[in-house]
Amino acid sequence: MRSNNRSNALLVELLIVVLFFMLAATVLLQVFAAARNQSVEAEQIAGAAAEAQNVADQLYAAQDAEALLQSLGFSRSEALWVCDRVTHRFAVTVTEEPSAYGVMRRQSVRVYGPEDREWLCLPCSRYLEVSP
Amino acid sequence: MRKKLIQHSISGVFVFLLMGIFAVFATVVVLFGVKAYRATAERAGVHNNARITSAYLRSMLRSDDEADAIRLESLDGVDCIALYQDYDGENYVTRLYVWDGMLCELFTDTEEAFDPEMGEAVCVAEEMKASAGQGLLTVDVRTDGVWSTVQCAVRAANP
Repeated sequence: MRSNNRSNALLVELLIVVLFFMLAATVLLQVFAAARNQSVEAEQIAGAAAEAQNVADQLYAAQDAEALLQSLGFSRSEALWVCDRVTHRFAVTVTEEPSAYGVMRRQSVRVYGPEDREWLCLPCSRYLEVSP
Repeated sequence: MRKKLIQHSISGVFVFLLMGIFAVFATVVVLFGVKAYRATAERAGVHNNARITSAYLRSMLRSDDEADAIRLESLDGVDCIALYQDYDGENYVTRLYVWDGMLCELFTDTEEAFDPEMGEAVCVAEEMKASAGQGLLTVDVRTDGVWSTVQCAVRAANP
């Protein structure tokens, strides 16, 4: 009778340990999944930032911004130029303000992630002088 | 008495079975954790190398954005981005090139002969191709087998 009680106590003890282990394993798996997701998202943001910098520099150097955006695969949607990627979306605004001596071309490249969350914005405005 | 003995041996087997399951699960979780951590660290490492190389190239090009200061050269079969500087009337050049799996930087007097062995290794890069046109400098770099492109609108330089 005494031996049976001891065996039952051991079983209950082991079951409690297994239960705690399961809880710990669940928490650990969630942490691993979150770490992986964060790593993937950081990689996506960095990749998008590098691509956005390239687009911004190309826009700065271009004489004809619209032709460049079309060649890069952007399409016009009202006042924006947009280009969709698998994980993010680029939106470029280009406005021109003519003056007596040239044209102020205000440009910015924005990158949006999932759920239209803005990841970054790169302004790349340029003053284009008009030769007299 | 016999019935009691059988009961005791069954509960003993059950305890061992439970312990065995516990050990298997513990091992699986540890192995899974190791695999997940290794994959994350590896991915971050590859990605960081590419990002560091791109950021370094971009910052070097931006910092030397002066008239006729950025040139693309090929010396002894090594493609270089040459950044010319003038300090107190003396002419110096910083050459960026890939040598022995690393992106190297060599700062010398313009009169000095180019020796790729003398450069300082900055970051990981296996191959580099640079081209220029219409105010835009394009540098393609291969890091850990992955190509990345740096496009830089050099504002005053004319490469």
